[in-house]
Amino acid sequence: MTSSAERGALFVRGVKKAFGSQPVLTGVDLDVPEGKIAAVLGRSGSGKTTLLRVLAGFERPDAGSVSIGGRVVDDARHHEAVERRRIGYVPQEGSLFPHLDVRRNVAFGLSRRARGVRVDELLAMVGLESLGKRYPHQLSGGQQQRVALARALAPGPRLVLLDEPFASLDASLRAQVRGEVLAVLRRSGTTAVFVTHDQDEALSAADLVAVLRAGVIAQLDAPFQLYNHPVDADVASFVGEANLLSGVARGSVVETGLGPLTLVRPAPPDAWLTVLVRPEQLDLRVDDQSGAAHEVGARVLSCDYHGHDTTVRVRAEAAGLPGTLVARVAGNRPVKESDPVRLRVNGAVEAWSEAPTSGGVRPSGQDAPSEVP
Amino acid sequence: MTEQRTAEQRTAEQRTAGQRTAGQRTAGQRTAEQRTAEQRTAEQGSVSEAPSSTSRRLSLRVPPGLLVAGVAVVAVLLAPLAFLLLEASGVGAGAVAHLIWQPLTASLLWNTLRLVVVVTALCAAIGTLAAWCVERTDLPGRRAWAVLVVVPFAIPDFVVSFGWASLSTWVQGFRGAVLVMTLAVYPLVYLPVAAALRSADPALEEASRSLGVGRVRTFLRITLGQVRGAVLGGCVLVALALLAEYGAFEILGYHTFTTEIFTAFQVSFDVQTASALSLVLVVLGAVALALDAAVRGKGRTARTGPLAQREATRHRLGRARVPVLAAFAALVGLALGVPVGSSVYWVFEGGVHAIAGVSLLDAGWHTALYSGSAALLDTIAAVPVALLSLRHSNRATRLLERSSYVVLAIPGVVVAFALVYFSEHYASGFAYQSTPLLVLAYAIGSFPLALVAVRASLAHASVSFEEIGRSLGQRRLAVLARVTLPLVAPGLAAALALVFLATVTELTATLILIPTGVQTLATQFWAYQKNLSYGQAAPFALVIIGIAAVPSYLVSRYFDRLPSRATGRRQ
Repeated sequence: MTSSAERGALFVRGVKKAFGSQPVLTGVDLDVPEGKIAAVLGRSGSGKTTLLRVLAGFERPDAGSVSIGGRVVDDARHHEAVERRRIGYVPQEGSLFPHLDVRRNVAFGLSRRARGVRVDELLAMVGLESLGKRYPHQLSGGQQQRVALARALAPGPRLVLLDEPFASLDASLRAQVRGEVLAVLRRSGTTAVFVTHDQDEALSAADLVAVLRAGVIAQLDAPFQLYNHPVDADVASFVGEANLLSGVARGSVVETGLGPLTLVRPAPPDAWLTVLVRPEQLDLRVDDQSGAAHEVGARVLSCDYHGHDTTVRVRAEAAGLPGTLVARVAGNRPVKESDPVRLRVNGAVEAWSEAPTSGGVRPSGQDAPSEVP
Repeated sequence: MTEQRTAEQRTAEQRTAGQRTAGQRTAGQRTAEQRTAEQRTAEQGSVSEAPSSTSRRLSLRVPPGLLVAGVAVVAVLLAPLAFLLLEASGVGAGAVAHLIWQPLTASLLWNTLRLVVVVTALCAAIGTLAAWCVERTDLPGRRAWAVLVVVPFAIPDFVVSFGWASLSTWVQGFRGAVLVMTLAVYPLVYLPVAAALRSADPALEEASRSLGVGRVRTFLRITLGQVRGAVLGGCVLVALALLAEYGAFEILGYHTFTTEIFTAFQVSFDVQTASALSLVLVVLGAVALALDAAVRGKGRTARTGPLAQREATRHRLGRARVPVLAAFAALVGLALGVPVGSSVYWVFEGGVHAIAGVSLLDAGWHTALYSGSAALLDTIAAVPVALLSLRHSNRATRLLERSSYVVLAIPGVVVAFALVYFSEHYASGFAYQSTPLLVLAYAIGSFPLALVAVRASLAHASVSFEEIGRSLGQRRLAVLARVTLPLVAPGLAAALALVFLATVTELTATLILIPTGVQTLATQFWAYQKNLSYGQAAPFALVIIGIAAVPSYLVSRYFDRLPSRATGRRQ
């Protein structure tokens, strides 16, 4: 579908990889245009790291092809060695060479002549000019991660690969280091692929998010598109929280337990649909007995107050709805447990034709095993 | 066991032995470095369960060349055992049973076992208390004591024995053996216990105190519990050392299996008795080793928090300060002062004989040649075994690695004896009393030392460093030169030094296998000592002590620095 001229920095087709009898990647397609930052998002064990290692050249795919910067580096006949791919690789722990100081770590991939100025330039880029003489064990986790990035960028790679680069950092540090690292990547205009199991991280940090599921890319889209128009219910509930309702299509609307909802795109009449209502779309109003049209009565089950907003779980009284619905309301609105409320859906909804039994609320994150204990 | 091995892999990169000083003993014994290394890795096995991609990096396919090399190394290591069993089967089970089933065996067994029980108990008490005082109390001058109490470790047992026995005839027989061996080997308990105390989490003691448990009961229930594995492991090392000892007992006139095997083989050429007794000795060693494995399997000192910890608050000795200081002074005086002082005394007292400078040089050169060759051989041989168990870990490669530790149960005299058997039966006496056979005996006996050091160094040169080196555009050879070698070099040097030190103080196998007309420091010392030429023997003792003590300090420095170098993380 893409002509070779338009091929970006990374072009992957049909990559398969198995370890023994255990298939890990079963046909991965992935395009990342020049200068973009892509996140590969998946649950633990979905093959994220294996994919990254295939792209880096540490593993040879069993089938499929990989091109970097318009050049084929992996296909059935050819496997280009890691050191010839011109990639940068940042592993989870940074893995700085412990016997070299910061400067010599950064200079590792540079020829002798190129070293002096380039190292200064890179250290300035990651904001660590003053730490050149330090050894890795004298740095904090975030500093190590930035040095690892500078080291990867030093030889001017066509593609930078980062393996869960922020997972080993403390939560308080993570967002800050992430911001710094991404700023450096964008400033240098480098194409990058990073792997993560954290959907917030993927949505907020990347230009493109690839959801890796059962060895294939389930969806590759910009974060906005991915969140608002996921390709199926499973992706929807993996990326953010989702209320999944079932309903019947009536032209451009779908009839659900929450009333007729506008579809983002028309569906065939009388088709059973699974409908996605994001918690932000669910408008919640304290019940004043006014009973406006298309509103459903409900009772608040629990509130998680976050300051800027409140996650409210409610039980709707209408038939044909899952037992619990999740709504998100602004933090300045007082909502209490067991308050009677009225629900209304804002905006158009995404829906997929599916068996009517698949409805239910699947708050994301709960069924995804956490990778970091 | 499997669980523990993987635990070891995970943590080998983070932690290895740390102790301040260590020296070496004879080839059939192992140092506390190894003990400590395994101890700590075992203890911390359950700590870091990070979702590392290490498992992914383990290639499923084992390179055939590496596998062949590893299997060959372990086959050579286990050859003495095989020869011993061959010899026994040639004699026939009935005849072997007949040889074993006699009063001599019973008396040797009694001698060996009562010595093992008494000395092990004494070492456990002295080693544990000394370690606790140094690591957990406000003992004045504890840095100096920490070094002084382990220096005796670098003095060969036969020199300690000589030092005492040459001064007083009271020191002989059982009481002499107990005194000399306790003073010679208690550091085998001290070193692992001190390391365990240093890594033990003081928060447990505080939690116990906060729950209303008093100081003494907290010590008994918590502190001792934390170091129990280290104490028992050290005791196993003591037992193995006692089983393998020859020189010290010969001087003291105390008969054990080892002295009797040596006499049967070397003096009366009674090969059948020697091999039958060797079988019993190897079984005893195997029992000790099995105990060791059982003890370590039960290591339950999981820590749930991060590795970072505060230093333990030190207990105040208060009024006990003076008696404790006196005890330390006495211990160091008896274990270090007497052997060294006695040797110095004999150098001056026996001044009638001019110190044989030439023979000292000549013996020193041969010692260096044999020990150096063995060190080189062991270090090279340890690389494939360590690589297999670290980078291609599976049941088979772990078994391979573990089997190499079986040589710990085979005393030097048995190794030598088995190699002679091999030379006579399969090489028509070709290599008997030749340099290669002696070097091989050294290498077999000391292999576990080399393996521990090489393994630790390879573990912290993780594959990911090589991968990153290559991702930065460097070829394999460049990565080898710029990343892998600099990372493993200190560990390889430590392996060389460990084996060198262990073999410098080896006596038993050396006496059996040394080429005719050649002397090493140890055998020359032994020859003079046997002729009661104490004045001529003493300089050799001092040179051996000097050679063993100084580099052993450097080795211990390496193991001390390993943790911070290995993790590459903020400490």
